[in-house]
Amino acid sequence: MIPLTLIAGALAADGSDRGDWGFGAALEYDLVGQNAGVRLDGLWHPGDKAVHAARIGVGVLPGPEYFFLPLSAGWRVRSGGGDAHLHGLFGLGAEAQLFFISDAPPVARPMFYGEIGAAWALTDHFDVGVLVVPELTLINVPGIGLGFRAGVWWR
Amino acid sequence: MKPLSLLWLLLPFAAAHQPGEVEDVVEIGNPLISYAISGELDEPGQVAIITMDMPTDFALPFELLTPHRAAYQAFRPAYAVIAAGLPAPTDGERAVLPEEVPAGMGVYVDLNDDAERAVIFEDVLRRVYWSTGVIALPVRAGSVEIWVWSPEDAMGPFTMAFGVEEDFTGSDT
Repeated sequence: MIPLTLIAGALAADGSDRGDWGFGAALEYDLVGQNAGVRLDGLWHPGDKAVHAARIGVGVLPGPEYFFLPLSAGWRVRSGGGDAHLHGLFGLGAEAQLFFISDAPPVARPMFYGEIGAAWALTDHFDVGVLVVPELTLINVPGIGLGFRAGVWWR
Repeated sequence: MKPLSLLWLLLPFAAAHQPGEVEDVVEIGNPLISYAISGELDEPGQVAIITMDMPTDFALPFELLTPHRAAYQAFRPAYAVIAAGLPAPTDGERAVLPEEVPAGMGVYVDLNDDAERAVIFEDVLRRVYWSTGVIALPVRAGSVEIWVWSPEDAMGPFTMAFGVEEDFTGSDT
């Protein structure tokens, strides 16, 4: 999922050459829709790169009833700092969710999500972690979601 | 346009809409309250039966749903509504019905054999179903039964949705 060259480069880099952008990839299982697949994140750090990030993301999650393609935008905070290895992850955002059904037109709807989880800093640049992602919409027909992610993030 | 569906009855948190499960025979207290009754046909020849007493003449909507999954593509359960006020069964209907229609009762039969089925996306729990479509049947006050069976003896889960009235008290009377 992540090219080995990128992993090697991330592990070798030190704190002096951090850019504003980071990226991540996670495996996800969505409990409500019973979809499983991959989430890719782009993370832009406006200030302290170890703490705040604006997030955009895309998911590719096939399932038994439809193909699920969410497009996300939000904000994520990474708690802790200094020499701590363990960090809390907290986020909020919105999604455009697309559902592709084999014998019916696709369905689109908006959704709001939260993120809560933890990350372990393997290096100054590289985290591995888990997230629980509850979702809720009250626009038009109410809807819920609940995702579980395990992933890696480079910053 | 999204087809009309009674699938909103599956809202589990709304006491107005009564989810339930069929275990061979299930009795409904107040059929005017909306219901979504889930069951599974897992044996050849099995017939799931839902019974109720209509307090008044009423045009009651009915809809049968099955999960939109490849494993259940060949699963097309049929259903029949047996009630006074419905037409007497034809010879063709008698031949496909799994039970004898009681004397004095009429029947509506849906064999769920349309070439193309309606597809319903259920927004709350992000589930997709094949649907027979909603039909309102004029039933008279008195005993009403719904029979669900699989003419081809295919197995699978189903949800039978019917009723209209919203009741937020959570009572079944």
